[in-house]
Amino acid sequence: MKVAFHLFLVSFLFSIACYGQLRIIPSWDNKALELEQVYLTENNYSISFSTLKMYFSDFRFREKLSGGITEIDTLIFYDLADSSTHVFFKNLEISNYDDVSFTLGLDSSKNVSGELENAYDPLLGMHWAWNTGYVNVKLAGKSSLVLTKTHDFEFHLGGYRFPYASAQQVQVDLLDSYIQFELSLLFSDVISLKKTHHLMLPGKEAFLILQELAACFN
Amino acid sequence: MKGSRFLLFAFCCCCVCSFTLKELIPSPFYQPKAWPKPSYDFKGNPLDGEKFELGRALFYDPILSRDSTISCASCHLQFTAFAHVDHPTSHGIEGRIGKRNAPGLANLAWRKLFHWDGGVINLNAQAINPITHVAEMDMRLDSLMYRLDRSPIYSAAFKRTFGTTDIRPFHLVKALAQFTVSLVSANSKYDKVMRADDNQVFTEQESKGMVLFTKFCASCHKPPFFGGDDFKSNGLPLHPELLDFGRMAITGNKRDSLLFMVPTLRNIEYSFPYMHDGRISKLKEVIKHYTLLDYSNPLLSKELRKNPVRLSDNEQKDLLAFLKTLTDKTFLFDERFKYATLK
Repeated sequence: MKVAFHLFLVSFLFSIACYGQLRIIPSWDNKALELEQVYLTENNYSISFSTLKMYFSDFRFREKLSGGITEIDTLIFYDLADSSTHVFFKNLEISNYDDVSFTLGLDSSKNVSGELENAYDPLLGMHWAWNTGYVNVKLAGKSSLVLTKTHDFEFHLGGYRFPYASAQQVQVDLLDSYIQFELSLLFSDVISLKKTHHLMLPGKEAFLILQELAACFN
Repeated sequence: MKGSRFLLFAFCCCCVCSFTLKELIPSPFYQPKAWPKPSYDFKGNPLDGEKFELGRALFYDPILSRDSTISCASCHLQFTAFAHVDHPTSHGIEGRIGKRNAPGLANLAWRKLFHWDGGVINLNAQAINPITHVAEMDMRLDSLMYRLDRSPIYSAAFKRTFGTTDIRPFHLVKALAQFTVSLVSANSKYDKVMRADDNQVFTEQESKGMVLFTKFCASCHKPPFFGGDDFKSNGLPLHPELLDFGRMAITGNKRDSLLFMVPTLRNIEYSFPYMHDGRISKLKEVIKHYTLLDYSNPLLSKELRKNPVRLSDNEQKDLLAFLKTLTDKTFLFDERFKYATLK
């Protein structure tokens, strides 16, 4: 049993308390991720996170019995630091569905919609002013892998223009009412923090990292 | 008894009417005849005179900057076509210098892209850029919302116009857009001649200039806006200190290197200095720049390569005379756009 006890406990208690809701649980080595907590990478480098913000959109739930699809075209903002953003679809009976697919980030139409309210509110810190659009995933922290004085890393991963439209499709089975997001997978061999520790521009690098981040959901 | 009831009813009607009339302050925005439909989404931010007045007050108020020293109008002055006269690039708080020439503001309702690199695709969202830019107002949006909320004048104004006691960035930018979208300049001599207003006609020199303009300039500076959402290379070399590659910074495409937005030529007489980094101070020097270009440069925009601007000294003067017919003094001195505060 690889899933750590306290992740199990959190999800179990949550399932009881919030039956019918969907929750995304970022984790490190299968333990619920906590901000500012120091973790170790595979090669024993220290790493901690100060920011984890994400957008999710265009949910498609597949029903268990009929195989029918329930589409929810909405934009959801997730901030690990704000528990009020951790639970989605409070009126949806998650146990009725086999799997869900969604977009990690926003597609181009949402990026150019001109909306600035609710999940699009610039106060959430995801709006790009200089190049109108939104960051799909914002990730920041410290790591001994970063060979600068502060050891800071910061990734603002976004971009919707061809050929690096970076929002990613994710599909996961709904075995429980939560979706795990195992962040250690990204830092095992995908991001070399020695080489890249700051990324604020759309482009190939952001696209590739988001592609790998999408693979961290299961 | 009936008479007194009627008088009371009439009095109430008058009160309601006067209140309603007070609410219906018109926005200065108008649609000039024969112009295309605006690109701006008026459904998302319907014209409203009171919101316009709020936007105007915000435009002129340094409350938007971190140290309360810089307003939008610091770089966009009305009498210079809402450009930054005499400064090559914009100034921010604490004397910080930006790397781009603050462009004039006019006819923004018909624009789809904003800034010299077209990085901003929505007039509402545009205001967030100068407010938060470190070389301009350097203001955090959450701090600004707090500041506006604490201001008795602005908190009352947002409550009155948007019906909110929770001021959010979208309220702020919609108010500012009410002002900026209303900056319509369509009453220059050129416009009057085109409309045949009051039997207005060009002088002989202006007419010659218009012929030259149509031949050499209008393929990029298309009437009636005389500029717009296209990006071109005008042959200016990379500025060695500013290192501004223009459109390429937005698209990441090397083919967009040194492409910049085609600026409007409306009110060009008053919006000096010129070019994206303000490196040319006089309009006649801009014309000379085009006459001296190396037209074999493959990076030059195709419109210029196909049709090199070859003008004699007299023709340059003629062209200059025509460009001055694009000056719209009713716009530059329109009382509705001048400095104002809320009471």
